[in-house]
Amino acid sequence: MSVDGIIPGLREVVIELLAAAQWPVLVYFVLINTSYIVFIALAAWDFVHHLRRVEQTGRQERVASEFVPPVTLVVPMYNEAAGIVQSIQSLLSLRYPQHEVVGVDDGSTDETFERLREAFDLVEVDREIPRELPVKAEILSIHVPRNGRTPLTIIRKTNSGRSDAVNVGINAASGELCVFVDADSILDPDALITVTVPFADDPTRMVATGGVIRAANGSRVVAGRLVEPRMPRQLLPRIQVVEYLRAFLIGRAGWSRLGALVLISGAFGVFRRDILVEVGGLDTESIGEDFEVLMRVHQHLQREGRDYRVKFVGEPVCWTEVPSTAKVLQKQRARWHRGLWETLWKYKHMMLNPRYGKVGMLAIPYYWLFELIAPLLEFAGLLLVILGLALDVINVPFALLFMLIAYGYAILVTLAAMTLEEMTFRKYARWRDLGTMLMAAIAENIGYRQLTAWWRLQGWWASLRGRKQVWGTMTRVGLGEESKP
Amino acid sequence: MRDEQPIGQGFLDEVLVAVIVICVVLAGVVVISRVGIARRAERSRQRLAPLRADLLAVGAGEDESGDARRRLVRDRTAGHDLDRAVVNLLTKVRGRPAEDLVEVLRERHGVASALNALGAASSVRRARATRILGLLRDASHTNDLLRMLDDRSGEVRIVAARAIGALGPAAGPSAAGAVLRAVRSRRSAPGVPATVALSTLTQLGVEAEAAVVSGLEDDDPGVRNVAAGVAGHNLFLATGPRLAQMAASDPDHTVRVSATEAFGAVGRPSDVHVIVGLLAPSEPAVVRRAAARALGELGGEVAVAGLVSVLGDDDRFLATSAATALAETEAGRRALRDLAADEAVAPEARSAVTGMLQMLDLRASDRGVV
Repeated sequence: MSVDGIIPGLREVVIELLAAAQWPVLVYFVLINTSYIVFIALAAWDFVHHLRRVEQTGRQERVASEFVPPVTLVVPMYNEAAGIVQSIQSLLSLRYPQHEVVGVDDGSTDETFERLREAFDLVEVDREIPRELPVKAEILSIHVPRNGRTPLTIIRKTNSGRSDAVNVGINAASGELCVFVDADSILDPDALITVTVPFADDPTRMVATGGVIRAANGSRVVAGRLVEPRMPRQLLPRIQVVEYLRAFLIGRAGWSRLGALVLISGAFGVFRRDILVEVGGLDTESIGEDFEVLMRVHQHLQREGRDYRVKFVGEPVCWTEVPSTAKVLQKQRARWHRGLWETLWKYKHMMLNPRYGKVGMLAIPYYWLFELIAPLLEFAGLLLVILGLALDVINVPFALLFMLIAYGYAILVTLAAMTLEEMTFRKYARWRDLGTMLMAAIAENIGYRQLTAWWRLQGWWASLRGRKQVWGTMTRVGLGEESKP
Repeated sequence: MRDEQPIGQGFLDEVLVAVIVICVVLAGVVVISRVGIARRAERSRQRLAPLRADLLAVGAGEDESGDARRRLVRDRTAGHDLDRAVVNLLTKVRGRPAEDLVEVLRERHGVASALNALGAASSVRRARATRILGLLRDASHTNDLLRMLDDRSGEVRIVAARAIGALGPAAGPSAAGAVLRAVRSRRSAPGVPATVALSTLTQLGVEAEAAVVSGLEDDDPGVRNVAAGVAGHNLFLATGPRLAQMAASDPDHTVRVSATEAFGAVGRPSDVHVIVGLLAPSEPAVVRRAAARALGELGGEVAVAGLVSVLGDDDRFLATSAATALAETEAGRRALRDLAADEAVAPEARSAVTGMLQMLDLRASDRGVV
């Protein structure tokens, strides 16, 4: 067939596709954006509720109370030599009456362990780790500080992945609550006190809580503490600041308020240890293990007909370094989307199943429709518009107008999230940072959104093709400790 | 297709304008909000600036003449900012400075306002007022606080329970009973959390004993759980026999765990066989582990023998708990060393023993005791 024959045929196909897609796309567009507005309203309700009550929550009393639940911070680590000592020091000095740190070195090939050994004067002990959760790895050695009192245990094991490392840490934990923290994350000093409030207020029903994750790039870090949040200097991390604000802060607070939170970030999540043991710990085969474990908790507790709660707490902050290069960001987003797909597929039986309550009837359908499929629709729509323009089958002013509205609405949602942030937590104090955030909210729609949609599709496609997923190394440039502003 | 659109272009034009307008408004709100908050903070700072030295003098107990206190009382410019600053300072000080600050608050009608706000429609206002009454540490407000224990809002009930704890033994025995009753769940809402009730009742000291004894017989497992915890913490020795009974046969596992641990604190060595019996494999894992901890508290030959018997148990969490409990007493530590020297000991038991002994040696060498 000649080119002259292909083009009219292609025109027909594109016209048919556009005709078939226009109403579904419009409905989808209205639904997804309305859901964002609903989440912002719910998050606003949640934050105002939280902030108006913060002085009555007895935070000060809890710092000195002997009745708070003991907490174990589980820190999986792999090649974290650069910042591990400060990170562990910072975790040990968090304000909480009863907490221990269990670091699990997942077969690091750098000096991670040596640095810890030197800094904390570690000695090897024959301590036994109970095997309540099955683990794949061989435990090589267990170390504690020579003084026998610092509540720190470092476990060295063969490399078997992050999830298996966390399971080893859960086995070694003596606390009633296990907090998962990434080794490169920085917690606010009162993070433990605040994120465990729901467990203290509703100890029989609360099974898990999650704290908010924010981007630490560019902020002032002194002695392992983030002392002044600042906007990053590079464009990619800047955009991720507003993206995290919208997705992690607003989205999760909204789901929490609805009582259907299905995702707590693995970088900062708190679980009751007995519940983790009941469900078998983290799935070592899953690439979206933080999502997967909470889905399993929901499935297990709903099947048993237990009354339980999962809550997101907007205030305690976990600061983490976000990818600053396109290559690392690509890997991260592909992995996230692959994890999302694999978990949703694994728990497809919960979809629209009344047995699983709001999680089955509301959260899972939403994640299928607006989280999993969104990049596919976004990308297909873009492709179709480009083809339509090239083949001259689209009303150009109309298409431009529609795209302007679509991206304008996305900016509106981000601005609404920023407004809420400004009226509640106000983490970024400098005017300069506020201006940068406003610019990032606009810049996000020019290239970044389209690229991340493509990368997410790559992750999904890789899973569908059955390609083996590896965690890989998340290359970080470090948070650049400062001693002076 | 070029001219067939699902919605008219005019409508889209209007939508675009609306989106742009809302975006501009939101950006404006962000800026105005920031400016407004900064201004309010600055105004508050300016109002408080002339009084800061007086506040610090009263808060630090350095206002012997009472002049600073009188200036704070007389001030009419700082309004609620000063009241808030006084309340904030009250959370940090005790003794004479706290009494002076309470006096300032009282004379500035802060206490009267708080009493009025106990009936406010907003649960946040009621909770704030209840908290302020607790900070006064004045037993004459006990009845007001007891009333708030029955508030329709769970949050207010929690704040009231904490406030009663702040009064200490002066709150009296009736307060203890009311706090225990507040632990009961109401319809679908949970009662005052166990941790809050425990903390409050332990602060009431001996005044809580009668309520605790009665609470151990309550139908509600939550109440029995808290009562058992307080009995152990406050060493109410008379509750020993009842705790032993609950540890062995309460229908609720959580209560059995609390009763077992409490019995470890108040039980007599002659009753130790009750707890040793709870180490049996037929018992729930949580009860067995609690029994190990309790035996560590009780000590004695029978307790040591019981703990040694589970060092090789299949439940390795129990085994390590038993080793930790053995390390609590001299007799237990001796038993650990004897086991380490005994070549006939099973490998599982040896594993728990050697780990614990190492930790003991590390702690001893840190204290300079080798």
